[in-house]
Amino acid sequence: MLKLNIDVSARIAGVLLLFLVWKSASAGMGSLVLASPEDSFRAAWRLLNNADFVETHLAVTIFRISVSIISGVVAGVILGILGGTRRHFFIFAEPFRRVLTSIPGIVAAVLAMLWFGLGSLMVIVLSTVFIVPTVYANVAEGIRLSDEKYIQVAEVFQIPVFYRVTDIYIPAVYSALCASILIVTGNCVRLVILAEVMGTESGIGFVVSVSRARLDMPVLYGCVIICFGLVWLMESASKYLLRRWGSV
Amino acid sequence: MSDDILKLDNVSFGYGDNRILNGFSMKLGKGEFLGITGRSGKGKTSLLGLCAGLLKPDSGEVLRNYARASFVFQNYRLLPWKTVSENIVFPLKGRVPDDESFEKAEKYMRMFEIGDACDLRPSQISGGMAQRTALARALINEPDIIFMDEPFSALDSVLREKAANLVRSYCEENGCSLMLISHFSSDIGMCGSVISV
Repeated sequence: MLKLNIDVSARIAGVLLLFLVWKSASAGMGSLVLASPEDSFRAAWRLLNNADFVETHLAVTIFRISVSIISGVVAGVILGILGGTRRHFFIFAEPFRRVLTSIPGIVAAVLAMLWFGLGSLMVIVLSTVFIVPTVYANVAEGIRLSDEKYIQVAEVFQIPVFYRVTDIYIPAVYSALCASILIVTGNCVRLVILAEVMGTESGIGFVVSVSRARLDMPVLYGCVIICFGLVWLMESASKYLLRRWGSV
Repeated sequence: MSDDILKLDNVSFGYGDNRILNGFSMKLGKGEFLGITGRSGKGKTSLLGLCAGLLKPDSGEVLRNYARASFVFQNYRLLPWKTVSENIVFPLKGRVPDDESFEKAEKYMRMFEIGDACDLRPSQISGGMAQRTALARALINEPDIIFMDEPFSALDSVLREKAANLVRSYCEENGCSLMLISHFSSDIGMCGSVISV
């Protein structure tokens, strides 16, 4: 109980310090450079109560994030299973993984805009392409490092490949998969917003882009707060789903 | 090869410079029981692994003439993320519908007196229970041959005799062959022939 209280107190102290630094910096630099916490939260609240913002921007961003995460994770898991179980595929895919994990997001965003134009398709493709290598690498490595003794059990009992994947490989890589899904969830929100800033006419990123052009700092920081909430929401949803899946 | 379920022909195997088998040959007929004895580290488990196809010989040939095999591993090798009953039905995956599998599993759990542990995970049960789970997993598979590496070592004398009788009855009734490693003369005693390595 005492430990819990200390944990809660430490968390509250951390949040208070953050606000204190933010408030001081805002007072020192001026609200045109850094909006104050109260103005930012007020702007975020106003945005969330604006039906047009919720329908045209927030809902669109959530849709893009969700589709990107689902398609990226599914593709990453399938490719990861292939990479983990087929050595030649792993070697073949290595250059692609290296390129995709080292290319700067901004460069990829420009290329995606050229190839897919402006709009949702570009945002989703860009985010998915960045999610796939992380999930792929975690799953493939997890399978490659899976305990040989359990694979031998499957071999001796002639278990079909599908059940080897569902009953041996996936449980064996479950922790790595969970970690990678949580990492890509946060990264995906950042990437979607980045892509929206650069090349869409809807979504939170677009609102960020417009407010930056108008020097509307409270709205800009309000969007940052909403993005923070989105990351928290998406991570919580991922954790909940992974916990449920893990307990099946 | 017609009656032989397993044949090793001039097989050599080793780990680096440590040669375990040199030009080793043997055969096992359908329904035959073969015991393997010998001091620790002499390659009994490797021989069993070669026969079951878990290891590949450096030279020579291993001919297997069976459709289905089971293996009782020395350290049980139960899947830690599955419960006892899920471990038992594991060999039936993709072959027998789930409800039928679990119905069969209940029978084997009763036979090996592990019914109370059906929903527990391997980390929550004793070594003896884990060993009986591994035995139940081997029998539910309805194999043509069972490879067993110290299959009764964690059981007390009463359970050991009961488990050995269950295995023997299954094999005798179904014409199943048996390859058994054990340090116990009572276990080896149920085998028609014995190899000492």
